[in-house]
Order: sequence, then C-alpha cells, then structure tokens
Amino acid sequence: VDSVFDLVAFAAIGATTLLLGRALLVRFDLSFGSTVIDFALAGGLGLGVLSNIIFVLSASHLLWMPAWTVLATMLIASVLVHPERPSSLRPVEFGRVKVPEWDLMTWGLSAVVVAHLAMNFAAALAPPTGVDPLVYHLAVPATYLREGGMVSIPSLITSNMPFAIQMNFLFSLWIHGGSVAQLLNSWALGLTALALFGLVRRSGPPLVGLLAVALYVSISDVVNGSSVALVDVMAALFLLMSFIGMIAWLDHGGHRWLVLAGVFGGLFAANRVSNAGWVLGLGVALVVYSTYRERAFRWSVSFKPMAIFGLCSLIVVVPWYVRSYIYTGNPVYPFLYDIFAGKYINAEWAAKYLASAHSKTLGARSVVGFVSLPWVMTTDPAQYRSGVVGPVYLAALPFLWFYRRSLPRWVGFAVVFTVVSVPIWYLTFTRLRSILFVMILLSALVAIAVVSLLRHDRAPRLLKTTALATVALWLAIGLTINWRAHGDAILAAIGIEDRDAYADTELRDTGFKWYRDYQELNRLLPEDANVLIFDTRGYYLDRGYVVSLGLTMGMATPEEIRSPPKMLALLDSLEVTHAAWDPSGTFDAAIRDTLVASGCMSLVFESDTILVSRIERSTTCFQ
Amino acid sequence: VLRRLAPWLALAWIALVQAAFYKNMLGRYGDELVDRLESIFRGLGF
Repeated sequence: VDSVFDLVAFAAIGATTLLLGRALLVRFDLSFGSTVIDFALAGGLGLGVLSNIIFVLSASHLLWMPAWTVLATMLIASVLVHPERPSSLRPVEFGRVKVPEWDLMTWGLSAVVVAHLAMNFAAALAPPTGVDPLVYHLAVPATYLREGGMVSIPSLITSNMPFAIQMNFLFSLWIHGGSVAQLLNSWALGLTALALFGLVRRSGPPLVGLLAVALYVSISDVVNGSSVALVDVMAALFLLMSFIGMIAWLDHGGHRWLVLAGVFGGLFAANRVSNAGWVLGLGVALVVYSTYRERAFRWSVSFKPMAIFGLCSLIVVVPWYVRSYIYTGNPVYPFLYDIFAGKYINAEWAAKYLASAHSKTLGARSVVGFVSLPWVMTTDPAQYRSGVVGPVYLAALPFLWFYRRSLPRWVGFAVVFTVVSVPIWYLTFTRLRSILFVMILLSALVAIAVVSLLRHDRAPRLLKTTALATVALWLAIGLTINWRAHGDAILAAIGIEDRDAYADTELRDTGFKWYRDYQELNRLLPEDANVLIFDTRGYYLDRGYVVSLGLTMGMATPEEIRSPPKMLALLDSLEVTHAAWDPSGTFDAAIRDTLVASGCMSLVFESDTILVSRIERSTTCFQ
Repeated sequence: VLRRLAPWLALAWIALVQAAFYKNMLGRYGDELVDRLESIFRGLGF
C-alpha cells in the first residue's frame, strides 16, 4: 500500500513538473527539434522550477501548507504561462516519434535499457537507505519539514551546502515519503536516457543511441544513484540540459537558449560547492569555442554569450551562497576557511575536513596520477572509492581517432569543455559520481565508435567479433551488477521481503544499527525531545536532534568537552534533552564520558545497540 | 605498415584493457561470484 501511494505521489510530481516545464519551453519558443530532447528538457526544467519553489516556501516557513497546493499552483501556472495554445501543453507528440528498425541488436539493447530502468525504478520504492542520504540529503529536508521551514543546523556541517536537488527531496517527503525522492532520481535517469538517445540520434541510427544509453545505465554509480536519495544522477541531468542548451545556441543562435543553459548550469552548481568549477568550465569552453568558430575575438562573439550564461547561472546559485553566509558567515562553508572563516567550526577542523575530503578520493594529486587516471579508473576504480565504469570506454577510445569523421559537430565543443573541466574535477572531488556528465558524453562517443567499427567493411572479422563480445559481456555483467545492488530492495518494494527487515539489514551492513531503535524512540520520547545522537545518521528519528560530531568540530571548546558542568551548560543552551549512544561504540567518546561523569543522566531506553538517557535539569546538576 | 598493423594493435589494446579489468574484478569479487554460482547450482539440484 505504501508503494502505491509512493507511485501516485511520484506520478503527480512527474506529470506536473513536466507540464510546467513544457509550458515554459513553448512560451519562450524553445524547441530543440527533437521530440525526445524536448521531452527531457521539459522534465528537467520542471524539476528545477519545483526546486526553486520549495526553496522559497521553505525559506518563508510556509511548509505548514498542504503539499498538494504546490502542485495545484504549478498546474495553474502552466495554463497562465501559455494560455493561447493549451493543446501544445501536451508533453510529447507521440506521433512524431520515429520507430527504429527492430533487428536483433536493437531488441537486445532495448531490453538491456528497459531492464535497468525497471530495476532502478522498482528498487527506488524500497525504504531509504545509504549513508549520505540519511546524514543530510534526506535528513536535512526532514528537519526543515519538522520545523515548518528552513533552519540553521549548526551540528551538521553539510546542512549549509547548496541544496537545490534536496529541495525536490523535501517536497517528496512533504507529499508522502523518502521513497518518492528516490523515485525522482529514477525519473531523472529516464530523462537523461531520452536526452542522450536524442543527442546521438541526431547524427546516427537509433542503434547508436540505444548503445550509448545502455552503456551509461550500466555504470555502477548510475545504477546506485538512481534508486537512493543521492544528488548526482539528477545533477548530471541538469548539466546535460545546460550542455544541450549551448549546443542549440551554437546551432541556431538565440540568446534565450543561453538563458536556459545558464539556468540549468545554476541548478547544477547549486548542489555541491565544487560543482561551480564545472559551470565555470562550461563558460570558458563557450568563450574558446565561439572565438575559434568565428575566428574573431570580439565582445559580442567571445564574451557576451558567456556573460549571459554566467549571469543566469549566478542568479540561480547565489541564493544558496547567501543562505550559507547568513547561517555561518561563509558563503562556501566549510571551504575557504582561511578567507571567510565560519561559525561552528575551528581552523583545525576546517583543515581536517578538507584533508578528509581529499583522502576520501585520491589523496595526493600528481601529474602522473592525472595522466594515468583513465587506466586506473577503469581497471581499479576502488582507488578512487568509485563505482565501476566497465572496460568498454577505455577500450574504445582509440577507435574515436579512426572514426573521427563520424563524430557529431558538438564533439569539438565537448572536447574543449572536458579539457577545461576535468582538471578542476581532479583537483576538487575526484569521484566517478561527480563526473557522470562526462560519462554521458563519452557514452555517446563510444557508441558511435563501436557501431562504426561493426559497420566497417574492411575491418577484420576477428576485431569486429571481439568488439561485439566485449560490449555484450559488459552489458550482461552490468545487469548482474544492477541485480546485486537492487535485488533485495526490489523484493522489499514488491512485498516479498519485509520492508523494515530490509532497511534494518541494509543499514547494519553500512554500520548503522539504530533503525529499529529509532522506531522505539519515536514512540517513547516526548514530541519536544531534542536528542544528542552519537552517530551522524538522524533521518529516521522523528524528533529534533543534535549530532555529537558537530560539538567536536568547533561548537564546543576543548574545555567544555572535558568539564561536565560546562558541557551540560552548552547542551542546555542547545536545548538538548536526551543523549543516545551505542554502549559498545567509541563515537565521540570524550563527550560521552563527560556526560556520564556529570551524573546527570537517567536512563530512559536501552537495547543491545543503544542507550538513551534523559539529561536531568535538577539544581545539583547545573550548579 | 601502420595501416596494416592498426587492426591488430586495436585488438591487442582491447585484449589488454579487458584482461586488466577482469583480473581486478575477479580479484575483488571472485569469491562472491563462486559462492553465488554454487548456491544457484545447488538450487538447481546439482
């Protein structure tokens, strides 16, 4: 029953955002000339508009309203935006879609793509799991919802970062629950698949488009990211839409395309501080490419397009920097501490946080590391703590040279963009999931190279057979990767496995033991309880909470952490009423020991995995 | 000469990448693969 409601809520969000996005595109006469790309643009734009609406409602503390009023307003807006020709609001004119020739390979590739998308979608219906989603992607929106609007969460550093996609997650929680947020990621992958197919279809047969999509959906980070509440799959959609906007401008002109590209670029930047580097890369690529194409270095040719694009991106992303500045005094918190400083952390922790962000990816950067990146990322992605891209991309790279005449015109622009952006990526957040957009473009190029080889009359049969076998084997393994990642979630989603048992097991596998304990606490603790949790994952706790890690990062002085009376006074100022820790754990043990030593704790709940105590506010304790 | 050698160089490159990739995959997930295959065959009655 829960899954049915999730599906209804998802369908309502998907249809409404699609309709509003389409109305806006028609209103501003933005048609790419490809049905599938126009569909994807409408869906992506609608998601971006929803994110901004929820940002405004959240910042205005209007989350007490019924969630459906947002959808109703968006539907009315669709008609108001484009009242003249209501019939053109139809998201797709299906009659215009050209049906590909159905040979064996087309059937096979279609089956692979459909199987991936179906498994991702079904798995998204399972209860939310993962680490980052439960620490902040879903947990922070859940806190906003509980508080009736956007609030500062000092103990959670990540809560101050740009959160555009998390606003869509917030609406999902508002309208029904966390699984709807996961479904939106599956939807974003579907839109990406359509846009990628459409982009490749412009310069080749449908088979190439299908192969490109099949390769992209087989990447393990795409598999994983499209069924949990991470932001990367939807962010990649936004950057792809921005890229498509630029391609349209390069092909047809018209500043409104640059505005659209800028809006999508801003939406992409509003998800991770380092994402701004990619948008900057897109702007620089625009300057270089349009200057080279026109063989002229003038304001109107070289800089004006970049200025329009950059300004629109900035307008979309700046509210997030302002929010961070208001809450912490640092617009890019917790980064650039030497310049902006920032509340709730100290210099030592800021440096440690940056170092940990680096060590979680590659550790020390080097020229040799950068040059060997494609090889290492392919053959041993664990070095990057990344998912698996598969052996096809790297194997097919040399063929791009042989078949360079088959490559579409946008490749030149993509190459300039990649040359500018990949070094920025390498120096900031070197994870596969933050470079999915490049994988989208590579999927297109590799598909073109592989199909060109298979259709090459003079290529040796052995080479063609090997290439075909390589691709077929990898696509088959990709399906098993998907089942390995999603099998249990799918069984839970369709009711074969118990949902609670699934979530409990999944979360224990990733080191979180309190799924069932939180359910008890949600029954036991008073509504106004505010719990100091000695863990970082607070999503399933339906009470206010403070993350103990935040205290050690700068909210508490070393003296406060050591002194029971001072620690209690600090917790009193934070209105903390309870503390919860793992009896066998060592998480933030210094704070725990100080609290125990205070003698002001009275046990209210105990299990094998958690001890929950109320902090007594008697006079003796606070003297 | 290069034109004649190109297909075979391409073939060698494909083989090299596949070998490096699957060697690593089998090293990392080989045991799990064997366990799963065993359970499938056991389930089929072998």
